[in-house]
Amino acid sequence: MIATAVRLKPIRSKQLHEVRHEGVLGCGMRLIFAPRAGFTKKIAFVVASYGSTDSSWLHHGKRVTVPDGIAHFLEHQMFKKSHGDLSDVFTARGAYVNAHTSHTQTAYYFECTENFEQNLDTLLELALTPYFDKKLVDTERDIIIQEINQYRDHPGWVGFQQLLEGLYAKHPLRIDIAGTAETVSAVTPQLLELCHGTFYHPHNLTLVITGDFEPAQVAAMADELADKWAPAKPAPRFERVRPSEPKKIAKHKAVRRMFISRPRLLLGFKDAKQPKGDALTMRDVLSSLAMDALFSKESEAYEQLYEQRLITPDFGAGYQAELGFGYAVIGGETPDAAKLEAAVLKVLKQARKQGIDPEVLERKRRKYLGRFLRAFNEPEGTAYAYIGALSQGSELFDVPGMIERVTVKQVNQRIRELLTPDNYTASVLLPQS
Amino acid sequence: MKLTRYREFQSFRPQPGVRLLAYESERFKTIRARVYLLEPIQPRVATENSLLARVMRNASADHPSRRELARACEELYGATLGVGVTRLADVQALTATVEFPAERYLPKGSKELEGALSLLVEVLTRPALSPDGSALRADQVEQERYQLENELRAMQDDKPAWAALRATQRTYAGTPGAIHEMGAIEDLPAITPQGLLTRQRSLVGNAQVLAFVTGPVTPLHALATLSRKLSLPRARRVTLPGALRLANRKAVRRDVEKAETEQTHLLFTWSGGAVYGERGFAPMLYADALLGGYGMSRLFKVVREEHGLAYAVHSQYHRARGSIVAQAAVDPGRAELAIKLIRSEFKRLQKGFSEQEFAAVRESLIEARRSAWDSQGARAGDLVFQHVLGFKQMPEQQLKDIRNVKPAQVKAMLKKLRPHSEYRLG
Repeated sequence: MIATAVRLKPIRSKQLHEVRHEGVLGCGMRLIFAPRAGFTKKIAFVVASYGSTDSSWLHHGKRVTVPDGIAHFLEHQMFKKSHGDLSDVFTARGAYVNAHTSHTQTAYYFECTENFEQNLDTLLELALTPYFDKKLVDTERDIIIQEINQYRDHPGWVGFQQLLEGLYAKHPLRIDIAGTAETVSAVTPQLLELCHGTFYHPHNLTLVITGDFEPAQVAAMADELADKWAPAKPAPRFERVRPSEPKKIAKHKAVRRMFISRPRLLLGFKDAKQPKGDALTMRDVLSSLAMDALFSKESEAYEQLYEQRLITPDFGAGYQAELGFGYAVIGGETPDAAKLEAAVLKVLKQARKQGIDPEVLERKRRKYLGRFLRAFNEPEGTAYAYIGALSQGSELFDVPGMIERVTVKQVNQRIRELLTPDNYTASVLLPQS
Repeated sequence: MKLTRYREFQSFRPQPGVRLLAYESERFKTIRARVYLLEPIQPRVATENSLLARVMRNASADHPSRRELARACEELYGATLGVGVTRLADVQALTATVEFPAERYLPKGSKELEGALSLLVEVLTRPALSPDGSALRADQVEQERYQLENELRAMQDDKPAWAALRATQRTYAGTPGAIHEMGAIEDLPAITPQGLLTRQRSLVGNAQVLAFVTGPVTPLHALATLSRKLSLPRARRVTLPGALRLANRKAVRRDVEKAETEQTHLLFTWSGGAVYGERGFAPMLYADALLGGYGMSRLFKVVREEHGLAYAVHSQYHRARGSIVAQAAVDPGRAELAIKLIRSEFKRLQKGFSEQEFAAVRESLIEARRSAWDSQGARAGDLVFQHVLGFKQMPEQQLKDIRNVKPAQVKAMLKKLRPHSEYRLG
């Protein structure tokens, strides 16, 4: 192993008993390393700050627009190279490899117990070297259409997608991550090349590694291997284009019939604009605590709705915050979507008026600290915790401190500004008659 | 208390049929405790156990509502508490699990181990009773009867899982293999709060018990605490049945069910292989992996990558049955081609495989096992499955067996396998 010039900075959380090491590799890729002493399993992720919502950008002042679903298509296609499918290379070593695309990120990862360095080499080759053959692209299109059809059979996904369409009028969040059969038909090798060239430069990628290593060992290995595959050209300049999303939700209600046993209701509440940095993280903390205080199994509302047989154990509430957007979701299966909607709105009306009980907030603090600890229990959870923080641009280790400092007044204010009657959409799925 | 070694666990056996086990690992930040109550799976009783688990999860003697139980978990730094049923071969297990942050990561003076184990034992052994103590609380039973009925109906909403369930019911018709661990809707009306209390007492008094504590905790401390709290009646515990091996059929059974789905769901079963614990187990792992059980499998390569017929196509080794089950979700218009390909890929595999395929499968199987031993629940889960099948084997031996398999053994195992049944939904 060569001596490394990359210096990793240790960042510690006393509260979580955690340390991570961060630095920037010579090629410009960011590295986050979380040691996991005693585990045989080792994991590496390459995360591109590029997701399904990045379908339009400015390049030298000129607007570029690509078909919906192309980020996800690119994720599938990156495994194919001129010398074969890289999945086979990982598999031949026994490593588990996979990838996923979200609204804002594309992540490629492997898990292994041996041959970590070789697998990391292959992972970096996978992300950094483009190869788009027309025949392979055409075959992959058929597989992706089957994936789209599979999700159309999944009531949870269908209801959630319908909810996003109701919340957002213009934001590309309203479009399915995989696109549609029509949009993926418009994807060409040239367009894939364009997207790769724009968004997969090392400056737009983060390498997240967890395992039982020494930080200097990881830094040297990652630096050398990334340098081997990184393009010599400088990072392209681009500016993401997001249509200005109206403050108001797009549609108050959407109803669809499916081959399901009973109705499902999701209510969504939109934060049309999001702050950045600590303010975004704090908004996430406040919103999550509010949702938990109002609708967790410990809440009065949950108990009453359950007793009234309006909800099932799958009922839940949560908040999703990323750079540029945020929304709260409440709901689940129900025998009567209209009744449940009315009951939830009643709970919210009361919450806006009376606020939450200070005693409840104290319990939530303990619960959230425990949840945070649990997120770092195993290597996968640790990696996902850091990847989640990337999508917010937040400092994860600040969150426990924020939870401790939150006041009842702040939570109540969040309830009053987010969970209002003119800021929600209802997504209803009904069984086919 | 004197501990003995049981596989890689420290163990204490307070009575025949009851074993407490602990595995210390500094890697984790949480401690996990899980109790298995094991009984032969039986019609109607399976539904009673399933309903009982739901009632237990919702109320106990000292925490008589969902809300109070949820609050107790929040006080334990967001501990998760679950009670449910699962099946292992022809055994139904009622399981209760609690997971909570280890005390060393919490403020000084925290006593979470005591609190969490008390809660776990309480939900299992001290349910909320009617005022006269002769039954479980009727309101709770009614509420959960309604919820379980809905959950059983809602199984059809997850199309791939529903297809697998319908195929299983046909393959194992008339045997314990066809009984679903969650029970059956038609059994629900006859269950009474009195009957359910009798069931709870029977389980606690007669089921075989395996209880685990894993994580950053010393085994002696963990097991002494658990033993003090989990006081079970001294009684003769049930004998667990041997697993029913799937017998070969003279002719392949083919079933088709219509449903309004976006995709057609296909299932194929091959029978006649070895089961977990037999000498042929490791070769069967290879056979399944080669067909559809790992990333470079024949089904993945041919059905998905070459023909683009499916996004999801895979196979699974049913270790207690000696069978392999392949499943694919495909475009209805191209289902016939998919069926043809899956049948022919199996036949082609029976004729042989390359050295590269064999070597890749070996690495994958070894890596998958080594990774699994890192997980907090996998070791305990494997031990319970071995217990149900009546043998005990160290993880290291399993790895050794996988490493030592020769291609000829896999070929011989593949030749033993026969097409058993096919099922199509959509």
